Amino acid sequence: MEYKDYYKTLGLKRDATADEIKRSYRKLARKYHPDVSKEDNAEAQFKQVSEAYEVLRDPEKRTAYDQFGSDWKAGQDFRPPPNNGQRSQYHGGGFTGAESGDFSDFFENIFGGDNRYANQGFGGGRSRGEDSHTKIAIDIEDAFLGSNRTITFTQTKIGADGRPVADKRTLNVRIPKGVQQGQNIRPAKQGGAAPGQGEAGDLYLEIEFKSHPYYSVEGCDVYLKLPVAPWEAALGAKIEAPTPNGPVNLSVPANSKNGAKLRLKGRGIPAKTPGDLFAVVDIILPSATTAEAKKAYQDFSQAVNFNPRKSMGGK
Amino acid sequence: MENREVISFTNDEFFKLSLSEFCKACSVNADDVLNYIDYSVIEPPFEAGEWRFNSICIRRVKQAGRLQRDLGINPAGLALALDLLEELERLRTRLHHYER
Repeated sequence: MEYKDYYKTLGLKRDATADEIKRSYRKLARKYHPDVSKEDNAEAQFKQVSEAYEVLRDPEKRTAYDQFGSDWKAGQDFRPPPNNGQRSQYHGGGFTGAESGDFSDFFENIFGGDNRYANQGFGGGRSRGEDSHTKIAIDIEDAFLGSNRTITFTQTKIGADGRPVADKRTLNVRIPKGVQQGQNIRPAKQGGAAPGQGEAGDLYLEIEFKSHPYYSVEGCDVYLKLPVAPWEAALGAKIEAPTPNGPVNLSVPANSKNGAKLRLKGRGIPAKTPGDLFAVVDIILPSATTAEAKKAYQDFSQAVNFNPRKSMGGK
Repeated sequence: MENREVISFTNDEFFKLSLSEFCKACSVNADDVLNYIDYSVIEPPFEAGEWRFNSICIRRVKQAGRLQRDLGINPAGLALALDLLEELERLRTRLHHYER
């Protein structure tokens, strides 16, 4: 198994004080916390930081870890010395709760092994099965029309021998019309099966919209980035614009500016009070690659007395 | 071991949960939930004499639990952090829209 350099993970020297360890952990935990961070691999980084802190914050574990000496390098193949049979001396109390089950082989081998960590989930001893939560990514169009989706997710359930096992399940879910980002839908009684004859738990599916090339969603409102030709924006035009509900005819008023929002009332996500659809004008300039296009631009510059840098003092 | 099963069902859509259902769904105890409400970490509507917890409450309470456990944030700080994270998310979505 790979040796873990916990001091390096926390950016510390081996003689760091308890306060330094705490400060460094807090700083890195904030940086990599999966609820806060947008860094790549935030979750993996956070686990490493948590694991390092779990060991270094505890004088007993830290001493045991320090005994391996300082010659090891992170990632080096590590075999624990034969006298490491006293693992039961390490007390439980994993501060990171349920997630400490995900610590590395290195950690498990030296400090784990008695399953105290793995079983430290919430509560216990309930008569119903666990409620399960999972995310489900859907297309924006699904929120307008409703749809059926097949989802696959992994659920922990109690096996015949009383130990938790990962169970891969596939369900066919009806996505109701009008769902919003972050909304939960709850197909009843699909959570973990209860140990014994208890009632099964509930399954909560949190809706997430897949990113779309030209729509984006804020609450019930949908934004459409609408490409417009310069003459359409200047002269006004009737154009056909896509919406998740099918194309609509849209009037672009004369002298529309780039970024102008054209509101289509009630064309957002359906609800009792439906959201709006905002078409955001995105003026696209044709490039002057042909002689004709070049001439048209030259004629335009002759005909229109226009200096976009006037407000900067340009003449 | 993969155990494939396909079940079709209708959703109990747009539900709102009672306090006890909410506690079970989020694995939290009622005292913590009431404390969260006091600090407006969650703001469930109060209808017909009881709290009705919606999807936003589920998401915020789960996030609050993780932030409290991992970063040691107190309830007042949690409310602030969650509000700022939501605002950040909204701005990121908008920025993404304009930068495409």
